[in-house]
Amino acid sequence: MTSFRAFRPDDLNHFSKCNLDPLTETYDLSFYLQYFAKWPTLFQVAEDSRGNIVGYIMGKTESSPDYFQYSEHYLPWHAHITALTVAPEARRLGIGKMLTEQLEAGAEAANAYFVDLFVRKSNEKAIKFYEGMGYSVYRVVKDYYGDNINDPTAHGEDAYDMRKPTKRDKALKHIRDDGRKHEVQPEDVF
Amino acid sequence: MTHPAIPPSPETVCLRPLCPRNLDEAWLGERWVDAAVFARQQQKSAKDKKDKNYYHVVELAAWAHAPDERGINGRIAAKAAVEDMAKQNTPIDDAACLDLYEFACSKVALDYSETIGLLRSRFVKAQPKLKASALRCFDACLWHLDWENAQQIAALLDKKFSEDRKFLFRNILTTYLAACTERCPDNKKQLFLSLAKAQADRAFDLHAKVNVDGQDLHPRAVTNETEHLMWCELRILCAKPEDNLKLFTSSKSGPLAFLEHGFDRSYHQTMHYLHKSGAWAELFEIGQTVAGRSVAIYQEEGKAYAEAVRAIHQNRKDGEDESTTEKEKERKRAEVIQKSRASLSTKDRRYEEVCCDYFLWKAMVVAAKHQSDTNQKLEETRQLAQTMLEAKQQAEGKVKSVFRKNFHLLTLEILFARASETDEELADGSEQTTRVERLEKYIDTYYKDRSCFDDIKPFFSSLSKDEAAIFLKSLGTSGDKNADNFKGLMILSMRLKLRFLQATSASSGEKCDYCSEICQDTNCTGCLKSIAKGALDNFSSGIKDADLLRELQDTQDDPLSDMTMIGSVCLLNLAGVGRGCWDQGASSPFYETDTQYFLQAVTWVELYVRMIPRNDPLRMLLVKLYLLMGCVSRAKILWDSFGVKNAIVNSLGSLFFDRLSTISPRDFVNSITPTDKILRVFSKAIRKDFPNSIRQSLQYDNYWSVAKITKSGEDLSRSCALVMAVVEGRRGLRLGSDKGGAVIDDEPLIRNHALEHQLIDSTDYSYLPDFGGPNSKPTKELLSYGPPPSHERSHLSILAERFLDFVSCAQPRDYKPPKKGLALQFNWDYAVTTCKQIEQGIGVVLPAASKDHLTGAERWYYSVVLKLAVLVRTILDNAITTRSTGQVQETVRSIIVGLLDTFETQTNDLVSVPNDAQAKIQTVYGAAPVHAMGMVRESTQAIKHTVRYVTAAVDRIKATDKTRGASEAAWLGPELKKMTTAASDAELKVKDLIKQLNSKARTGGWVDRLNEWTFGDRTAPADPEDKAFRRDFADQLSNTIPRTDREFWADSVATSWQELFEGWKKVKWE
Repeated sequence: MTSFRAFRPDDLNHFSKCNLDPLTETYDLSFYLQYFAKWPTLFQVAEDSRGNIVGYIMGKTESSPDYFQYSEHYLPWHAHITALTVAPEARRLGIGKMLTEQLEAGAEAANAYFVDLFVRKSNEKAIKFYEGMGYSVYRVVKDYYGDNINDPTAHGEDAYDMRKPTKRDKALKHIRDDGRKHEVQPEDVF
Repeated sequence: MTHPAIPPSPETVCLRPLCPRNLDEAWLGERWVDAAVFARQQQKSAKDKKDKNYYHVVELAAWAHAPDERGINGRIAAKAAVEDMAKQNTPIDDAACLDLYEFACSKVALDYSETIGLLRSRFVKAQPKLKASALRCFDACLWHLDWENAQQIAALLDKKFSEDRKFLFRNILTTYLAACTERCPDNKKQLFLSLAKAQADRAFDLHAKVNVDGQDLHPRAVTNETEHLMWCELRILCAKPEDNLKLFTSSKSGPLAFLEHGFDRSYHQTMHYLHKSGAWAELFEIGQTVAGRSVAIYQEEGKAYAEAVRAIHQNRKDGEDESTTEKEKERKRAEVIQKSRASLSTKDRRYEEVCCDYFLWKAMVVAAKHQSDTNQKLEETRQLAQTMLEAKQQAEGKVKSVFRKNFHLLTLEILFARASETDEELADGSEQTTRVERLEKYIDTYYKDRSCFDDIKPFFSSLSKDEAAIFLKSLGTSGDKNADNFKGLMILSMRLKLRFLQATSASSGEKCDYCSEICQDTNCTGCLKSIAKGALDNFSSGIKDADLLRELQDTQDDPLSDMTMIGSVCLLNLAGVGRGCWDQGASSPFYETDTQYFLQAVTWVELYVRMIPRNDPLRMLLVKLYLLMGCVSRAKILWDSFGVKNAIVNSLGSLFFDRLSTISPRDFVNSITPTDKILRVFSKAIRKDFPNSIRQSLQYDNYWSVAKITKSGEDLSRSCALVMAVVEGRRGLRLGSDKGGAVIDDEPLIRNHALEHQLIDSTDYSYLPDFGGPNSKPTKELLSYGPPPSHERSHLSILAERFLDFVSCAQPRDYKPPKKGLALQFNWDYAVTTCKQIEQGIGVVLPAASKDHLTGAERWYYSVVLKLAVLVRTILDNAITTRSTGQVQETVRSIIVGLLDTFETQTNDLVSVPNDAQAKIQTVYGAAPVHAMGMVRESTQAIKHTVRYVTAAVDRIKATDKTRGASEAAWLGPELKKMTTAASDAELKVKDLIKQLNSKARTGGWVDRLNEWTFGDRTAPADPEDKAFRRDFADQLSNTIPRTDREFWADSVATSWQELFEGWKKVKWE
């Protein structure tokens, strides 16, 4: 039995099913609290019948700072998926998709132009998952990740900046068909 | 529930922009003495009174941070100045000075609300127009969780800037939070709550009124969701239940109204309230409406989807898109769904979301159960859910597994909630009841899900005995005959888990539901053996299946892991681990344990964790098993792979670190203890992150978040894991010297902890397996050295640390107070009061804690500390501050006799661990009582420090009154000598034990020895059946585990024991 609801700080005491998985990073408490304090509607959890958190998504709404306004890399008002994780035992049930849809609903409610996220270029599973939900690669951020899990000798690993337009982006100005050909440097990314 | 106040981290203060450069540089460089001197110079040269005053406060703040005694004096001066201003109602006209005063007092214990908070609210009251300064003061009060003064400031801001709606809601919020604080008197509490509710009601009414009139919203009306949430919370807390029920079931302010606005959190809040209030009829009706509305939305979406799909097919027929492959069509269908879903309004999305939430359906089932026409209502719920699923299917092409699974669980809920017809069906000669059939179907569909067992557990438990038998038989057949080996094994592992549930569900003396044997204890031994055997059979054949092993490398669903888990848990139960040992003598978890079964469980788990390394519950089980058998270094390697850090240390840290200092001194030899990292997390979280996020919430107008963050911060401040980290760290430091670091009352995270503060254990045990029945011991208890962390144990440990601080505190040699006699009198008064407090504290908690919250070794240790506190208080009160009488001397002697008696029992019990009954396994027994050894060491330290303290006290009497001092020393000396001797004797005994254990751990032949202990025929049970089982099981397990693995394991265990005892050898006793 799985229920979906907004995150509460005491959920952190029930994160073991998700965060003991080596693929899920455990951050400082301030990181989670910041999202809860600022964007509570974009921090959703999936809870099992025993109160364990078996999945969660954290997101925020933002735009580039004003001084970036005339840059070609300026980001208008949008929602960003910071973290999405589902416990190993709860995978393949569609929980990740449900959580993402909830965040997208929050983005729509916040009148964002699009929802975006960064994913390792090598993480094919995740890329396929997001593509299945209507996301597409907008640009490639070179050496965005400090490490390269597939090639330890490499400087870092590229990230795909993936996006999905919302209703506000009627002209679909914020997505590209050939996003994989557009490369930017990490410093261009806000 | 009360919680200890933990002061927040001090906030940095910058000096004002126009201050001289030398002063600014000294301030920023934290050269406090220079800064103070420069500030004084500036003060002298300043002409303006306001400037003079500013630099005076800068000087005060700089001295307060200066090193050595100047700093101490500076802090005292700062505190006195602030307290004086608060008391004298001195006006302050510069907000920057308030920041400086706050900074000056950041290192002293101060009642913020009564001093700086009060000064801040007075400042705002005097100068309400200074908005920026007022906001700065408000922020400072938030940082200190001073809701009382924050409320005062918020009210003033709301009054002065009434056009700014955020001040209204800040006013409401702080009024509510001020009412919730412990310091708020009862009469004021009610007043504040009523005030907050009235203001929120007014704001809500304005919203409702304007909505009806269709005008623009009033600026002081509730508008967004967070404001609605606050209003709901206040209503729930302050209004009469009957009024709330009326309100929350109305069309304007109930869950349906909130959904219409797209406010899902307010919807949930009110639905939960109705659920809690038992408004079943209303809840059912709302559920029906929500579900009905969602069905309609899905049906609309479905029509659009069907239309679009038809168009795709049409295109193909017309030859417009000949090359369209199935994959392309699929992509187009997905696009259609995406478009269709993207066009949904927020409101419609919310309807869909809440309808997919299991809570709604479960609430409807519960509501149906409470109505007269239960079966009809249940059927209506089922039909509605069925329609919803079909509509969802039509709208989205396919339904996500999570909803399909929820739906299947719901149908099971409904089936089992209906009046049972089971018996009749069986009586008719039917092979299966509907309930059994549905459960089988559920397992057949969800056998891969790790939660499958937990899902069906409550349903299985409510089957009749006959139904359960049929079900298990059928599962056995289905598992054995399944063409898919993986699936077959998964089903068989499920069957074994369910059998384990049955085998551990009966009470002692009752018949086992499965085999009808009479259960000894709460387990059916016969069934446990048979389950372990079944698991091993399946495991043995499974690991020989190369295809299966290949398949398992990439999946989390693993029947062999399940077989290992269930088999090893059976062995642990057969071994009797954790059975009644905590409050017994030697406190060894192995005291009554069958070592062979235990070691078999360990080797089995170790084999599989090494075969398929991944972080899963099996690995966590192995961590706990190694800790239990004293292989701490081995456990540490496994534990580290989980990466427990940051936000999850509160819930998981205790799984590894609880009692660690008494088990493995090796981990504490460095000046940085393993618990330091945990403390850093707690310190930053409580002192900085929580106050900061309260501010962030308000910056973003998320009022609802503030109350949740506040509550969560309070809970963290009374966490047992926090106390555990402090106490373990101090005990660990004492292992390398006789000092436990800084005085506990100087530790800001713990110094305010008092008995009235209810401490809570938030440890998350869900990662450990738990298949047992209601009467069985949970795995978390089976696998621990003793009871889990608790309020009682935490307080006892703090009190004991306070006592140790008290008796080990030595006066500096250069301390020469001007009025010696008076200072001495103050000193004795303080000492007596402290001792009394500790004595009373332990005296209250220990009797309540003894049975369920402490190991035997801990109970003795705290008894020793209690008796020492009684002893010191009696001596101080009756022999130091006044001349002792013969009666007093007798009393003291009898206290010491009682104390030494307890201590002797503690020591003898430790060394009387059976070391020859089965001589071959003495190292295992030896490894086990290390915790008891650690507690004996703590007792010896406490006794030695007490003797030193009393001796020093007598010496001080001698210094002022030689004759009396000599006479007290004459009778007290021999008594103290007895204590010292007892401590030294115990020390020698423990040292000898360590030497023995260390030497045994270092002897060779461990591979053969462990092999013999684990798989050898070393038992001579009277029961021939048991003997046969043991022999067969040991043979089969040893054949399953390759020789190289067994040797590797034995080597690693021996090395780990050697490291453990090597660590113990390094413990300092002087």
